[in-house]
Amino acid sequence: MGFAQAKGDNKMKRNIETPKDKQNRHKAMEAVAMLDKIRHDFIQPPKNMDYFYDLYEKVYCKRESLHAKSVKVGTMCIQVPYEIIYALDAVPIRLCNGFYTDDEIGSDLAPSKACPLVKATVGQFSSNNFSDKPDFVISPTTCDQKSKSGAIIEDMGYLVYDMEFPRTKESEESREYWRRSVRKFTKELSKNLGKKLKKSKLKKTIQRIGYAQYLYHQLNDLRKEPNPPILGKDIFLVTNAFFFDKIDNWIEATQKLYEECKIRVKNEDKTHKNSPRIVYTGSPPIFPNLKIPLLIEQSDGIIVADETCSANRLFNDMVSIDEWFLYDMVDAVADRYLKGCTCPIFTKNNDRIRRVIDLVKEYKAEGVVYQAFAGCQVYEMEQRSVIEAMEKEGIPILYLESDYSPSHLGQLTTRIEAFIESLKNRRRRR
Amino acid sequence: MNKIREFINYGDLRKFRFWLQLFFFIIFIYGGYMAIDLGRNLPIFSCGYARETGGNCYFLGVQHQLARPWSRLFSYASIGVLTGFLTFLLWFVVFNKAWCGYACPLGTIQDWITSFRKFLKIPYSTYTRPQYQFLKKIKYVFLFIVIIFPLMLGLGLLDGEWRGAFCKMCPGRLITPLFVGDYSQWTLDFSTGTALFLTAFGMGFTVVFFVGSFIKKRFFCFFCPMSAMHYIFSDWALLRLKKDGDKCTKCGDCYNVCDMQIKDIADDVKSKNILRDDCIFCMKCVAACPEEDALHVDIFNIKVFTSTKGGFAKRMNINNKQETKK
Amino acid sequence: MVDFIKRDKNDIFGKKILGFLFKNQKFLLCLRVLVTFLFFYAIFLGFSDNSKGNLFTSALFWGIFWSFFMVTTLPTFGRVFCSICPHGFLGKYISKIGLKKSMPRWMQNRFLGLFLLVLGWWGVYYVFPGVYRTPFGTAMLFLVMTLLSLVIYFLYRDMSYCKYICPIGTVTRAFSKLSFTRLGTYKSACSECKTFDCATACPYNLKPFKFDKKNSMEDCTLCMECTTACESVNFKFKKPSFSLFEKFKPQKAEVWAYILILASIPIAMAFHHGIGRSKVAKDMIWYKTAEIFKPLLGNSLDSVGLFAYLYAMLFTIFAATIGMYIASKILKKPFKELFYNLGYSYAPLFIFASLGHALSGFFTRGYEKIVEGFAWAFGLSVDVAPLAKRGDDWLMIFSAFKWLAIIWAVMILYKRMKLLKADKMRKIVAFPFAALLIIFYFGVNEYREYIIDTYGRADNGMHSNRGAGHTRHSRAKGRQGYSKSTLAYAKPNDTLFFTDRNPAVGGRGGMMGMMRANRDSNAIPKRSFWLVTKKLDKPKCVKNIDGKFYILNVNGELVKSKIKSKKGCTSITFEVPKNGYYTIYYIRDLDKIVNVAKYEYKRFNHGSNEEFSKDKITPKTIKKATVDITRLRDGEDSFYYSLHAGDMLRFKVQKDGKALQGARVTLKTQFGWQKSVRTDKSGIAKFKLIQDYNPKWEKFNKRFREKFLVTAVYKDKSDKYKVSYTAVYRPSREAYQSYAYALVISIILLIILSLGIFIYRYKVQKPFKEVTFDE
Repeated sequence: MGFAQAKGDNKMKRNIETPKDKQNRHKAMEAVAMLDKIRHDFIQPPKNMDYFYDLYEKVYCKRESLHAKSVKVGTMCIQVPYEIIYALDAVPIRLCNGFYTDDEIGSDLAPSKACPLVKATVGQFSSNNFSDKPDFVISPTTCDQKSKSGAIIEDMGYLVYDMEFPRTKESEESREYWRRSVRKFTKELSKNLGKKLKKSKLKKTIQRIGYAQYLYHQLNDLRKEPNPPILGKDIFLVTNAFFFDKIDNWIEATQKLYEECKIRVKNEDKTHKNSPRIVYTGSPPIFPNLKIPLLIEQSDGIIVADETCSANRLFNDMVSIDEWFLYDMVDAVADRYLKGCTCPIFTKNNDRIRRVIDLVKEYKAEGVVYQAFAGCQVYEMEQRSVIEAMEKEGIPILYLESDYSPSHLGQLTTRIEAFIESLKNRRRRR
Repeated sequence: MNKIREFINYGDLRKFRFWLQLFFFIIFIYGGYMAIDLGRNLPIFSCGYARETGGNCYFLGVQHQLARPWSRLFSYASIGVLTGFLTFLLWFVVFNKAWCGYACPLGTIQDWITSFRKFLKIPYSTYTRPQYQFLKKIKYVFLFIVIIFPLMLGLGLLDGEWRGAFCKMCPGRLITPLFVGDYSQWTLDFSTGTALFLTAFGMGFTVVFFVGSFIKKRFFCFFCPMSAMHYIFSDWALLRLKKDGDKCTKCGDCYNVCDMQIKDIADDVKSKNILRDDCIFCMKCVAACPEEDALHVDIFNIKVFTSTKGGFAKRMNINNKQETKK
Repeated sequence: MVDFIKRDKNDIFGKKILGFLFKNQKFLLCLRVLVTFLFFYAIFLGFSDNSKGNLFTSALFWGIFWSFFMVTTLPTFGRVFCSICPHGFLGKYISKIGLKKSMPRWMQNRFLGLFLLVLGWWGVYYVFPGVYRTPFGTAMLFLVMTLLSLVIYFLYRDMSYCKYICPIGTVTRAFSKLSFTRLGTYKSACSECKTFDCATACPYNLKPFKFDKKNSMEDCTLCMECTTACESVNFKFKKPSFSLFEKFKPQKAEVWAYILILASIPIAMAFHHGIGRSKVAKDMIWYKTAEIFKPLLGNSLDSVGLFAYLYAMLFTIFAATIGMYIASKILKKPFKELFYNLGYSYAPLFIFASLGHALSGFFTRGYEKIVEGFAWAFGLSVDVAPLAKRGDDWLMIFSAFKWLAIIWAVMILYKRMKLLKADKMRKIVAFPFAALLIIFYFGVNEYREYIIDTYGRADNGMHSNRGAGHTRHSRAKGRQGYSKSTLAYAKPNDTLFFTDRNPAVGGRGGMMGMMRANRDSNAIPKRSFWLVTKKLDKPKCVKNIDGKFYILNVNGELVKSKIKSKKGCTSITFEVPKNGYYTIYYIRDLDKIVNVAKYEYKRFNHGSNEEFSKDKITPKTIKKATVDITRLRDGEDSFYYSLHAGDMLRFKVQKDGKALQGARVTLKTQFGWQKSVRTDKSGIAKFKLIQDYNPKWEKFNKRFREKFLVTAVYKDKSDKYKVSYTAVYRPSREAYQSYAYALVISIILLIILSLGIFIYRYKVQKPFKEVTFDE
């Protein structure tokens, strides 16, 4: 629709398209193409998904700003505490990007073999093309590429704050290091924003985000049903929206979605009963790069659970607090982002393996799809150990390497279809 | 059945614990006024020096029993030692270390001091790992004093002033009688050097107890020989604290609320029985666990209290009500 | 083969000192050479000097090697003894040049060695006591064994002597199962091994890399040959008797070793030496059997010993098999499988009890014997005192080993039961039957104690095998002489009173008054009191008893008592079964004067858990006492109560049950302070106990019992009445306890601590100081 509108304008005024307009047009095309597939290629998506479909259309096609009046704090990675940003009356915007257009722009600034997600993020900054432009950028020193891209972005003239992040999480030293890092970040941010962190405010945001997490968990629990009421691609959209949406709107919409899904479970829709159940893990699918989840579900698989930082990991660990004071709350919030995190940048591999195995058991999944972005070294490095562990447990696993370009689609389709077919065979043999 | 289970799992542990602690506190400190007598072999610091207790700490009795001359100790005469020990065990085995978290008056007092600190909005302290590793051993030193010193006394290696040495060093002797208006224990005994040392130690320890438990949650329990004694027999207990490591995400919520800074509760994903020697079985960790069934309290392998997402949300006051208010 | 491996924390080879002791081949060689030298030197001396002067031979063989060293090492480090055994040491070299035949089938039987030990040694020990005791006998025995072993080593390969013929080979193998060490290998290194150096190096032809998996070290004698062959071999600390908690392939001979050794040593000893030395030894079955067979057997052998031994065997084997048989029926398992699997639970019974015995023996006799023996062997003359005397209190700890053994055995049985696959209820029912031998052992121990306690030891040992060495020294209780000056004739006007210590016995002997019920808690305790006169601090026994004693119990009832008189000192003894006050009266009604002496004894026993009630401590009186004085109980509200300086006492004087006004009441303390008052209308006189015990600070005894004597004198028209009441009081707590200091110190401490923490929190911030370096 956005596309059509742009075309119409061209005819009328015959303006020369600026590079920015061109980018926007491309991005809108990408978004629309993906949204159309998500919306129309499947039978009966839940009605309340419309909110999310429209949201994406608004933000990515029509380029409407959601947070015009608020201070926006861009976060380069999942590790930046949302709770604290919200408590300081700012809005966190996750800058992880899924657009191929931005990826191509970023290729000029970052090595071409770098992770497409990082390239796309850098590309977006270089094109300075935001619907909600961040006032601050917080760059946690998680993986090498993200840490270094912080510097590239800073060179472009953005306010970047490097948040030190340890690469081990077992030792007491690293935990204390991270807590201090978060405390420092809190002080710094509150100084920059000119706001004092208030106890009551932080408590409220912790509970607010806690509720969002809780809601997600409840929604997720419905996916354990033999007949999941909602498909993985929709869940990815929902969780993706948490990156940038207004939290209150998001909660309201998700609440409605949850209610609807509950009713669906009760009525026992039989749409996907026989599809092989799949746990999705690996590099995060971020809109509009949802092609692999989409391929899986188009090939009659169903994603019942995932282990990625754009979905499950975002909501996984709720914060519990013993004493509702700043000293305890900030530390507890800090712990949430480090201790439970299953990002592959950490030295040890076993936490993620444990999580995936647990997900497979909990959600009665039959196979695992492990996707890594070409260029994401840590996911690629961990791949071997995960596959070995899955073989030990007797769980079939498919390892895919992909990037944002649409070129390998045919090959991916073949492999995914074959995998799902093999899962079906396996089931029949039992 | 499911409803009961849900009621328990969604319950407010904090309140439940507060009232139960208060109840036990009254029973154990003022029980004498109500003619309650639960014997002298209780696995808690309900001090026998306080006049109106509803039952006495086992250590007072056992120190006296073991201080008998050895020729008597290792004879039929010591059937009393055995029955005393068995009663202690019988009490203990039922509730395991929950005695510490729910019934021990000294523990309750510490919790109240903690509440007072919270009221003053002063942050608590924690130990660093090396400090922790060092300090946790002290309780075994005290246990040694409780068990071995009386035996040495019976041998004649120590003189009579060491009778009940631990009791003289224990803050419980000074603190619990205060609640019935008896401050007679707050003295220094100048009669002998040993007595002076012991009473001065007790006095100093009591002061440290107050200051320590003000800034550190459950300060004394690190040093409590009863806790060490419990741990030795905790394998036989009925009530058990268990963990399902597969479900654990190591998020550290349990560690965060743990009064005793037990690291294993969050980090150990291998052991099923997660009760450690410092544990006071307050079950705060179970209440703070956001994963379904990752931590649970069992009796005979039946889950009595288990961590649930819903229960967690309820206890953390996570709900959508704020939205409507806004 | 690997040259380096990262050793685990519990690996003994990774430890500095222990690693050296167990692994260093040079050290081990030296040690073995030394032991071998001592071994042969002792044999040589045994032949050359068979007199009593030869202290060395028996000290080495019976003082160190057998019993002491073996018993202490087996349940701890394992077969360390075999590691340094001269036979094995020589055998290793002899085998190398020997014929290397394989041992014939019939000889490959572990029972050979076991029977050699049980019959050849213990059988002979009981039947012909003393044969091996002489240096010559000892030397002969070991020489024969040495020659036999060397021949077998020469003939057969793989150290077969150790495995099958050595009398203690199977026994050490069996009992080393209780040890907390395990020789094994690191899996990580062994999984890729193709050379099997450890197995090639092993003189016993064992496979060390399989030890962990098999959960058995088989015939390993810890010779440590394999450890030089490959670094992957480890020697780890584990839990005590860990290997019995898991499954392994049971060895019949091992289980029988437990049973037969248990029968031959502790049980047979309990029969023959324990019960056999009691007064009722002649009533025992083995004695009676021996009487029947004595004519047949003649006098050359100890027939009592023989039958004690046989019956011990019979009972033990019966208890073991029948128990297991019933258990196997309950569990529905084949008997053999059950017997040999659960039989391992008998392991601790002998070894722990014997460990206690060996250790206490070492302290009382062994140490002296060994040191003096060695000194003698090398031409020195040393005289050392034993480390402990028989009957020393602390040696009692070794008698606890027996109970430990039983608990341990039950625990192993429980753990091994757990390994069985069977119904839980059946297991519970079968448990006591499977534990029958353990129960039997417990019973024998209890029975022996019971026999000795009730009937006492015979004055002369019933048997003659050891003679003088074994007569028990009765502990001489310090008996002080009675001094004559402790008697006095009580004139009518003298004050009579009671004391709880015998005035005739000086010093600590006076503690006799607190007669302890010896070892038997069920006996009702008794107390004695002496009727004395004259001075309070130096009382004298009353010669002329012309009045009557009355004892009131806790409830005020008259009870029986025993009046004894020893060298003129009269005492009254009575039972004090319950907590509370017992009242003692002595009433003498002479012509013109009535004397009443009264004493209130409070019994309080912590352990008895008796309910406190007021009427157990209220003052009691009897009608026979025409005049009576009672101490009124003010504030006395528990059994713990005692009198202290500073207390206000009220005494009530009564005549014929009515309050007596105007009687003169005098309170006199031990140190001579005294005060007199007259009773008021209600017959009451008040005193404050003063503090007149004021020694120097260092000598202050807060439990000092200062006596005081209260006398009430009253004269009416015709008669004079004199009543006395004695009691003790302690220094007041204020005399040695200080609230003020406590308060000051605690407040100062409180301030310092709080301030310290405050400063620490707000001023000192020390980030990242977890790691410090030693400069």
